[in-house]
Formats: sequence, structure tokens, C-alpha cells
Amino acid sequence: MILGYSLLIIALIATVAANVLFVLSRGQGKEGLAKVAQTSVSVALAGIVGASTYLMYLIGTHQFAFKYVAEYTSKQSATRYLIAAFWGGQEGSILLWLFWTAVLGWILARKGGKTTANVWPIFGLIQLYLLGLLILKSPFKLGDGPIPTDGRGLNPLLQNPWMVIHPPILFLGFASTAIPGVWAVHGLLNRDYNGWIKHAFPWTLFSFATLGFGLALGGYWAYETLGWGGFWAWDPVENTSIVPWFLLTALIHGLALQAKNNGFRVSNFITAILPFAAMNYGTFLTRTGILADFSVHSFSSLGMDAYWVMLSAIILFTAGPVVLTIVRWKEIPKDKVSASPVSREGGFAFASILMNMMGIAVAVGMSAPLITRVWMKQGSALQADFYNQIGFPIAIVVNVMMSLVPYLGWKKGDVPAAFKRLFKPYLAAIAVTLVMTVVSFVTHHRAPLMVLLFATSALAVCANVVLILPRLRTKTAQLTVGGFTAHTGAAMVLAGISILVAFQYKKEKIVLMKDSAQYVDGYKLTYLGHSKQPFDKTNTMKIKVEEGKSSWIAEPSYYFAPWEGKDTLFANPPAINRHILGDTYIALGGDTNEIMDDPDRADTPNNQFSLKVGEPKTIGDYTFSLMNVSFDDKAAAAFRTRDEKVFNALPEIQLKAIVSVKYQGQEILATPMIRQGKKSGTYSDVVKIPGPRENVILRFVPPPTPDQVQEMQGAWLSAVEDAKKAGQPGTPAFQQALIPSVFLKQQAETYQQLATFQALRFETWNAPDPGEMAVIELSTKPMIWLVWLGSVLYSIGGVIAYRRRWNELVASKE
Amino acid sequence: MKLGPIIASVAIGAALVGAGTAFVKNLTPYITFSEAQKTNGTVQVMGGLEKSSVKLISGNLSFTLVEKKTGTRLPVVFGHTKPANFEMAIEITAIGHYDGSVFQADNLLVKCPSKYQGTETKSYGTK
Repeated sequence: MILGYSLLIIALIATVAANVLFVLSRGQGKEGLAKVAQTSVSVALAGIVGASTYLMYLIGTHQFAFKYVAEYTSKQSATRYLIAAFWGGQEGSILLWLFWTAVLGWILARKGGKTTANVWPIFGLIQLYLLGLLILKSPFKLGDGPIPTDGRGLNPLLQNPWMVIHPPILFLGFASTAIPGVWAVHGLLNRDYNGWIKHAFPWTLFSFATLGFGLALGGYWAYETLGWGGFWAWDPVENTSIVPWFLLTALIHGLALQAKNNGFRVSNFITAILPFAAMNYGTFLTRTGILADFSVHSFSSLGMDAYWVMLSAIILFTAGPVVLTIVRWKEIPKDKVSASPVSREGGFAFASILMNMMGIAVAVGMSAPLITRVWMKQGSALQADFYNQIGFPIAIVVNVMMSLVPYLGWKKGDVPAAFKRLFKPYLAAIAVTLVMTVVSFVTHHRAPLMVLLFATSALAVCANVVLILPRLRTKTAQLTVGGFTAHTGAAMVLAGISILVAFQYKKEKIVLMKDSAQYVDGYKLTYLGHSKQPFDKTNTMKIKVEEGKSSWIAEPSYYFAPWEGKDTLFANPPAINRHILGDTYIALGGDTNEIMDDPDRADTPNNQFSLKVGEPKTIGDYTFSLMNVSFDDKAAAAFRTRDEKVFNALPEIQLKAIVSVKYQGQEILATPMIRQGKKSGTYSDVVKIPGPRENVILRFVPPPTPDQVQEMQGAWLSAVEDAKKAGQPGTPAFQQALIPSVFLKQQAETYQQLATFQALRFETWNAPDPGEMAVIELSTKPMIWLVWLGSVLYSIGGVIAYRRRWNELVASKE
Repeated sequence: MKLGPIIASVAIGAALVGAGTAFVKNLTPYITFSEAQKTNGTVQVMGGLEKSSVKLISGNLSFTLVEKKTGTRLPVVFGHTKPANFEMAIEITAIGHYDGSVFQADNLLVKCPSKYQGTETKSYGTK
């Protein structure tokens, strides 16, 4: 424990030293101090890497004396999940964040050149903040009490290869959002109102690419593993990642504009600090438990001391630069706007503003539970539809802009000329949109809004691809395709989403019986059995899926993972058949044990009989005796009044029977229950009783309603009236005519007995073995690969653009 | 006055109105069970799960929520797939409306007890 804290404190002191030394080295003749500062930076990195290594060592050697190790690892954890456990909990993930921050900071110190002494101290503050937070919430705390012999292990739902990949990449993205802001603050502090963007630009693009890729990984993980078929839910934890990404996109366009004609000089300072501010804000909301009631994703609370540290940091890192901008306002040169709004410059400006607005809108949405507390007592959640509703018009505008602006000239765009050049992409887009429209009509999935979104996305893709292809020929031109590639990727994602929303299909609760095929909407499904016991993690259900001529064996999993000894976690990873036209997605849709218990299942009962207290009945191998009938208290009181009106006026009655069931020498007491409500209908219990394969069910049949009793009595009375036509009551002719209808009298009497609870009616049925059933959800996800390919493309675009701007920076020898 | 700023202002105004409307329309306030039973629109309620009440009836998940502060009970019916780890929930948030006798849930958020990063329990909704 001491080792861990010591390493962190060494890093802390080294960071402070680096800060001080860098600041001092700016003085005359003190340049030598910069070298010492650089060493300090390395020492700080060494300390943080050391602390990380130490944590990994503790995890790897199963040192359960440490609280963190005991909570997230166990002796049986596979190696990769020991690695993943590093960031499996709050403290470890903060250490991961700090790790990347330190690495990036070290690179920043190395590559900063002459500006390092000015820039690094600003960055150092961020590193200090994280170190402070980590010392407060450290993974090196020892547990209380005796050392456990084994740890809890990583949550089974997280035991997945993606848990090893997604967080590190995402957190690298998180850490990198700090850097553009650092350069911006440097620009303000040191009055470098133009030069800072040359440095900030490549870092911004790197952050955009990494964060964007991390987002895509998360979405893909959710789709592939969780069994709910989606990849994005606008949950606060997800939003914490996407808001900075939107804001980075805004910054990219703002920086491009300033690089071109010095526009947005003032606002870029603010835009540059927003990604980090948003990231901190979202982290704060999700980790402090403020949103605990509004998200399933929330972490446990960080604790009050960490809460205040985070809040102070957010205020400092956001308000500080804003104040600084205001202070420097007058000094910052503001060039006259030379370009027309309809021009490439105008396009960049609009893009920057629009992406900032999107980011802010999502951040506001995510804060709804807090904002609404101003006028609502407990606050209100915001349904995910909000994001879709504001996102749709913005997506259309983005697509149109991504198509048109690259074709506009600088200074003053010639729109008619741009349209001319867009002719071929336009044709291509119309062609594919026509295909989509035809498909939508043929398949009865009318979705005009989605067709519009697809059309604009297709146009953006074609428009940008046309610009990319010729540039791939020469090495120098190759690096200029970053933006176009990213546009293509983003538009592709939007196209994919439009197709999914228009055409995706889901059928829930499909009950399959073993070896008997079922036809569901063009698919022939046959359940072949399951491979292992449900408590075995490798348990899968085998389902043969045939569609037309093609067939595949789907093996969705379902398993119960023991967790904490008593509770079990249920997971249902899907089986996905990937095809160029789309994915077929099958996941377990329900617990077969409960399907069996559902009293409204469509199996036919094999016996129906009524029982009176004290009159046992033998049916086959079973002897049933009704021991007791009892009502809930209100109904019992009403029943005692013997007044039908009072009884029938009750909104709900609950009736419980105790039935003794004897089978082959065994006796059990079954207690089926019925709830009969005026509005809620009748719910009756089923009870499993011993039988062949232990799956016979005793079901309590609801007593007839007063109307039904009257109807039955009426039927008997009419039969009597009809018989009277044959002869007077008492005459043989009368008796003869009545014989066929005597059963009606018996039924009427039984009904009367049942209605007054002198007898109760039951039925038995053989329910199938739950192992012989599978309940699945079948979905189709048309062209979903567009989303994955698109997200890879926008990240690649970011990397290419990063390379270009990095080369520019190096060439300018700042 | 230049046309540009006018168009821009109108567009921004329209955007703000649109976003604001979407925001308000999608709010689902958290209210108590007794308030929920009087409200018509879509609301959000939260309570503990009465484990013995979990049943499948006519294929629909049916259960009872118990309000933490008042102990009030609310019967809930949910037509979609039962969320994973439902019985483990220490708290369930249901979004839907009360139809006079039972709360018809469109969406369920299930909160599991263990404190660890990123409980991947998703809500199952109308889409």
C-alpha cells in the first residue's frame, strides 16, 4: 500500500517540480532549468507507470488484502480479465485516465519545442488534478477486516474480450481531450493568438480519431454481446463520450477556418476548452451518483471529498479560460470577415457552430434530471427520443453541408458551379435512393423521413468519394483526403442508421418446441436443444434457421453466472449471422421456466374437475383433496355477509385453496391462488406437482361469474320449458323430453356451487420440460455493416488529417 | 438590414423552439405512485421489486413495485422481453402510464446491486 501511494506522491512532487521549473526556465539565462523540468516530467511518468505496474502486479498475484483487488478479481479469473480488472472499478479507471494523461504529457514535453516551457505548466495542472483525485480515491487501499481467501471477480457481464480493448482506447480519447484546451490557454496567457492552433490542430484530430474509435468499439460491443440488438442508447455514460466528440468536431472546423483566414480567433479559444470541460462534466455526473436514479450505467458514488475535487476542477478548468478570454478580448486581433457566408469558409464556420450546438444539446439533455429539479420536485428523466428528434434535422443539414461545402470555392462560393460538379454524385445518390424507396414500398416499410436521411447521406458519401479518388494518386495529395474520408464515414453511419430505422424488424417471445419447426415471417426455425447446463457459461441453444435456400445454426447463449454466492446474473449473448444485406440476430427472449408457469399457455389441460372440501377425487395416479378455501380479508368479510351485492362490489378478490395431492405414495400440499379483479381481470396461479418428469401442473380454474351462472341456469330453465311442451311436469312424456338436458341441471348446480365457493375447479396438464423449449427474439438488422464501416472510416479520416497537420506543424518549425 | 442575419436569426429561433419542444415533450417526470395513478400521460416511477410477485401472465411480465418511502404497491405489466437480471434488481424504474388498474410500462430500467463499472443492464423499450 505504501509503495502505491509513494509512487503517486513521487509523481505528484515531480509534476509540481516540472511546473515550477518550466515557469522559471523562461527567465533570462535560466534555460538550463528546462532540461531539469523535462527530467521531472519523465520522473512523473515513471511514477505513474510504476503505480500502474504495481496495481497490475497486485492483481496478477492475487493480493486480496487490497480492497480493489478483492472486489474485481478472483483466483479463477482468466488472465485477460485480470488485465481488464485494472479498469474494472472507479479507482482503476481513474488510474487508467491518469496513465494516458501522463504518457501524452510526456510526448507533449518532448515535442513542444520552444513552446514547451510555456505550455507544459498548464498541462501539469491537469496532471496534478488527476493525481490528487487518485490519491483520494486510490486503488491501493487495504480492505477492512480479515484478508479474504478469494476475491469477488470481475462482473460476469463484463467478462468479455471487449472489456480488454474498449476502455483503454476510450480513455486515451478522454485523456487527449485535454490537450487542445491546454494549447488554447497557452495562446491566451502568452499572447500567441495565431501560433497555438498549429499545435492544437493535430492533437485535436488525434483526439477526434481515438475518441470516435472508442465510441464505435463500445457500440459494437453492446450490439454483439448484450442481446438487446442495439448499439446506442443515449445513456449518460455514452453521452459523456459523444458530447466531447461533437465538440472536437466543432473545433476541427473552427481551427481549419482560423488556419485559412484567421476567422473565429476569439471563439476558438472557448471551443478548444469545451471538449475537456464536457468530458469532466459528464464524468462528474455519472461517477458521483447524481444521476443514479436516471441511468442503469451509473457508478457507485465517488464520495464527498472526491466530489468536491472534481467539481472544483470543472469550475477551474472551464471558468478559468473563459475569464482569460474575456480579459484578453480587446487584445485579440479580429480580422474583418473577408469571405462570403456562402463559401468554404462559411461552411467551416457553420459546421463549427452546428457541431457545438449538437454537443451542447446532448449535454443539456443529459442534464435534464438536474435541470428539471428547478421546477419539478424530484426531477424528470428525458426519453431517448429527444436525441433522435433533434438529431434528425441536424443529420440532414450535416449531410447537405458535407456534400456541398467541399465543392464551394474559397472566399465566395459559386453555388451553381458546385451543383454542376455534384451532378454525378447526385445521380448516384438518386439511384441508390430509388432502390431504397422501391424496397420500402415492396416490403411495406414506408419511412419517408428515413428515405430523406438516406438520400442526403448517399449524396454526401458519393460527393466525398469523388473528391478522394483522384487525390489518392499522388503522395502529397493523399494526405489531404482526411476530411473527405471522415465525411464519408460519418455519412455512411447516418445512411446505415436510416436503413436500420426504416427496415429493421424484431419479433419477440417466439416459443420453440424442441425438434418441431415453426414458421415465423419467412424464417423456418427449429430448436435443436441446448448444449450444456444453464449455469455453465458456455451454454448455448442450437437453433436451425432457414430462410429460403440458406440455413445456419444459430447458437445464442444463455447462462446464469453465480455472483456473490447467492444471486445469479443472467446473460444472453446473441447469435449473429452476418450477411452483406444485413445481420440476422437471435437472442434468448425469456426464461422457459416461467413460460411453463404462465397459466395462459396454450396447452390443453388433460383433466378438469371440481373439488368440494372433504370429498377427495382420484384421477389416474393422483388423489386430490381440497383441504381449505380462504379469501383475503376484505372478501372474507364480504362473503360472511352472504350478500351477493356486497361481495360483487369488491374491486378485487383473492382466493386461496389448499389442495393435498397424493401421487405414488408422495403427498404435497399445493396452494394455488386466484386473483379476480373487476378491472384487472383474473390471474390464477399454477403449481407444479410431482409427476412424470416433474412437470405436471395444477391450475386453479376461476369460478364462473354470476352472469355465467345465470346463463347456465337459464339454459336449464329453457330446457324445462321446452320439455313442458311435450307434457305436463311429472308425466312420463315430460321426463322423456327432459333426459337429454339433465346434464344442464347438473352443470347449473355445479356452477352454483363453484360460484358460492362450496366447490372449486381445477385442471391438470402436462407442461413440457423447460429444457425442451426455447424462447427467442428474432431481429433483422439490414445493412448494419454500414455503421461499423462508417465509424472506421471517420476515424481513419481523422488519422489522415492528423498526419497532414502534424507535418505542417513540423514544417513550420514552431 | 441584411437578409443574412435575418435568416440566421429566424433559423436559430426555430431551432431553439424545436429543441425546446422536443425537450419538454420527452420529459417523463418522476412521481409518486399515488400521483401516477391519477395522471394520464407518460410518467416515471421507481420502486423496489416485490420478488414473489414476478409472474408471466398471457406472455406479459407482471410484477408489483413497492414505493420505498410510503410502502405503496403498484401492479405493473410490461409487454416486452423481461430484462436480464430482473429478479436481482434492488430498484426498478418503470416508464409508462397507469390505465386505471395497472401500470402499463413501455420501458424498464433495472438497477443491480453490485457496485462496479458500467452495469450493462439495458432497458428494453418500445423499439
